[in-house]
Amino acid sequence: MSELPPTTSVRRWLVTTNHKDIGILYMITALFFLLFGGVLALLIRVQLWDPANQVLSGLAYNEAVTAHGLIMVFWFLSPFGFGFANYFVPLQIGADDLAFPRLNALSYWMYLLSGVLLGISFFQGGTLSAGWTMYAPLNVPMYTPSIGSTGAVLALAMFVIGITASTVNFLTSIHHSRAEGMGIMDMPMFTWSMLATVWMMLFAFAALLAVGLILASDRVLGSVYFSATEGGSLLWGHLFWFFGHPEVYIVFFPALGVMLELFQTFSGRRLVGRKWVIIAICLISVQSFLVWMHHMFLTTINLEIKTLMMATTIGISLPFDLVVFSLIYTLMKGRIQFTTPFLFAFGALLLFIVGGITGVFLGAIVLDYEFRGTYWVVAHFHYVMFGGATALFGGAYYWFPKMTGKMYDEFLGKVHFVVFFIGFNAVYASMFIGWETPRRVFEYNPEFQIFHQIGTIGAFLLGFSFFIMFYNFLKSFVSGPDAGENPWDYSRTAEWAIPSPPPIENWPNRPSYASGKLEFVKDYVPDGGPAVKADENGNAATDGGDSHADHIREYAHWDKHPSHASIWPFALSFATLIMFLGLSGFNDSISIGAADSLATTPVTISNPIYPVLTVIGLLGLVYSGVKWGFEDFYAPPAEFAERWPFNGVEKVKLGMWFFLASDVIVFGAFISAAVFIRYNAGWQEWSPLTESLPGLINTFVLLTSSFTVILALVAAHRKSRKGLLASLGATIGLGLTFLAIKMWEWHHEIYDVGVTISENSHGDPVQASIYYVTTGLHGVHVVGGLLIAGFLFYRAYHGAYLEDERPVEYFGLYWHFVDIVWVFLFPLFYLF
Amino acid sequence: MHVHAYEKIWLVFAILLILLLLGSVTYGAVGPGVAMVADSEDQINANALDEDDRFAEPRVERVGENHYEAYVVAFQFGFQPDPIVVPENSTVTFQVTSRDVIHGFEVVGTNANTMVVPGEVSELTVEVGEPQEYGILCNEYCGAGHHVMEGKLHVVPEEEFEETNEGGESA
Repeated sequence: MSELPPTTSVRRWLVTTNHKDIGILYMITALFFLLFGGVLALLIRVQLWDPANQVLSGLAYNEAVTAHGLIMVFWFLSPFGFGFANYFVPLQIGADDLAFPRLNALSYWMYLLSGVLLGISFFQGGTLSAGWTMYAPLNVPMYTPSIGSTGAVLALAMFVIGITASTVNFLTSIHHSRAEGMGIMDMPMFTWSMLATVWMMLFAFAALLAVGLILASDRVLGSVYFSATEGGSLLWGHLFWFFGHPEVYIVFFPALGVMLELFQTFSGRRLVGRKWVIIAICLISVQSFLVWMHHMFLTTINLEIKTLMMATTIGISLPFDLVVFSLIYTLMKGRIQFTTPFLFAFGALLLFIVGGITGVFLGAIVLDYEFRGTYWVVAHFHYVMFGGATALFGGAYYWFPKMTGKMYDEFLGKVHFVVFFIGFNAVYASMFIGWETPRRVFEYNPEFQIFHQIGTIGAFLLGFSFFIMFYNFLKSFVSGPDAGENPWDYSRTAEWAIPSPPPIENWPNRPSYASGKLEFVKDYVPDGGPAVKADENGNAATDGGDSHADHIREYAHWDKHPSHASIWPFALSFATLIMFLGLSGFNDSISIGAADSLATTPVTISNPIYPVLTVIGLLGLVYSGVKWGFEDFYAPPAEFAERWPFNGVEKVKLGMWFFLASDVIVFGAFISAAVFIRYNAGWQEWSPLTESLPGLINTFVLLTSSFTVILALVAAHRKSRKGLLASLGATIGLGLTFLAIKMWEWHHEIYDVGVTISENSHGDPVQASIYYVTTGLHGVHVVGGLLIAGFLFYRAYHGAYLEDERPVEYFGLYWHFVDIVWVFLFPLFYLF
Repeated sequence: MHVHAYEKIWLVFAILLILLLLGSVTYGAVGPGVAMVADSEDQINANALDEDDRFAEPRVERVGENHYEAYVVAFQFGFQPDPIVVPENSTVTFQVTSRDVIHGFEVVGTNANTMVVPGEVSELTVEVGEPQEYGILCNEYCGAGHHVMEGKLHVVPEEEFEETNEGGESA
């Protein structure tokens, strides 16, 4: 643990794990990517100025469109919302920080550095040019051969890894650290929106992670999933859109949360039908997973399924109607203050209504035939996604005084809104008018030129409007008037009850809503013992509240100061960047010749840079991971907190369950992919590639190792160091045995039978790819598990876990999960 | 629970809208004029189109009284046959497939619009009217030459079709 340097030091921003610092880093980085994506957008608009313009070549135009889409959706919209979430969700629920501060820093650095990787991809022979949907098989190296294309795919995978960590973190925080008395229905609306967002992300981004890993494997390792003619192309569509539709709401909900918050503050009125809005938000979250095929109406999916998807798609507009009406009623019943934040929130509502209604047309299959492939679609989703994001700029003005302690310039803010709103509608409304222009080519019918020229002018206006905002914020940050704790008349959430900017540990004393309103209570801390909850009079209560006996141990370090700084999240992410950068060109730098055993295989390295980067990155990853594990970092759990519906589940355990839930989806996607492709190839056409005996032995080995993990837990519980070491050692031994048999099996397949990841002497090549990639992913999980087991073994050797066996228990959860996955893989690849 | 009158009106309106759109699909599916893209049959091997008796030689062929089938292959960067020639006032069923990546197939200015997925055959049936020339457009990114990928659909008088398409009736 190291001390946190002051804000003026560069080191502070590299090591900080404080949620407010990271929130600010997120926002600034997201605004940078807004400029990056915005410049690409302007290039597109310049190209469209003239029906036959050729400022960019065909390929460069496709690259610009692809990168614009990817950057705006992944590197701007979501992270900008997450900046606010980082800063204000812990404040709104009365927590000291997020549940896992170092993991939060890791998410941020993964996000920033994955963006750097995407930036580098432009200089690796051109970035990806397959559109942001990256449809297969255009996304495989046969059609997009540049190293930069692989770099862009890996950048996306890296981004998703970071996002998954963030999702687990927010879910654990919101379900584990709400201040005493804050029930789940009492949470502020922004926090509610974020909770729905992260629940959707847990499942949606897991699907994207799976599809990204498969694509990365196709591009780096040479598997042939997406070029397979046995449904490889449709497989991409299903997996991508299973993620892709919930993603629309994932992007919009943070903005909706800001909108709900701002409408309440600036109408001075509680949200009308608050409970119903929350129910609607939950409904939308669930329904968002049932509509994805409306993106595939023009493929050959059968009509009955398409009609069903049409009904669910149009049905999803109903809960949205409810939310919109609630917002309008709130305004009608309140007294509106037209401040800059309110103008942006209100503008967002107007734009979103236009976007929502025009989307209903696209949801109808018959009309979709007419509209698909035109600028109607482009205008629609910009009104929804960018229109929704308008509220986030409102959020930036709304919370600027809290984050900086200074007031922004109201006049400049209003000018920004007016220029923004005019520019926005000039770009996208002109697209509705000239909707018949085909959306994916830059040559169009000259009769639409006037609309595109208005659009281009509007785009520059829109871009310019952000410089007014940057100027406003910079000027106000340097010389603005002091804002005080709370510059708004009717703001009611907890962040406005503390100084601006808030101190590092947020609260003067423990925040509590037990009496029905926010109070800061001083807990009584007896000498050498756990904290005891105070009653209203400040006297120590003896009942202990939510704390129960087996939690006492975690308060044993009650006098220890919480940590706020660690360099390892940055180091780990940087190592990942180096490794992924190496992997992007790995395939092009190494060629592997034919041979009859691994030892005699000739390997030719044509360009040492990429393989060397890969190895350095991998070593760095292991090194920083180990240092992370040994670092003495103290993040105290909330002692008295509302935890519904996870009462009594310890923090790390809850996080582990959330992580495993997302991993279930990852493996589920891999197994679905295997089943989908096999179904398309003809189920009976395939028989297992390998002998079933090694698989059977491995099944026994893994199940036995699950048993030894339980023995380890029992030994730790009985404080037997020898027993613990013996059972952990046995687990590691069994895991290594599993890997050895696996390696023997692969070696046998590759060199004796002639089945490699891209070739199959017995049948469809994709069958071999599925076998290697799916069992390989499982193997990676086993290796990861063994690394953790080795770490536990080392610590146990030095006497750890006898007082507190929970780390052994949580490792056990993971290890059982890996075993259960194998129970599914064994019949799929060895029996049938 | 009290529900505001405006809200009731809106609920009724929204439900009607859903019923109307569902009805439009049902009508479109059974009624004339609008045909849905459908899965005509099992998968096709996109790497071996020259072994398929429809797509080895992309062509227009007569299959019934005033009913024609057009077998079209989309590729980087064009369509085969080019132009697609069909007779006036007839029913034409397009069967479209791709031999490389995903393409689009849209007869510009009409609602004949489908994605062309390698390994799948998209089938759509249209009624053509008076002689006219239509452009055909690819609606999906398909590579560096995407913006130049186009085709033509010529609707010609009956006699002219017979001339340009001799032997087209062979089974």
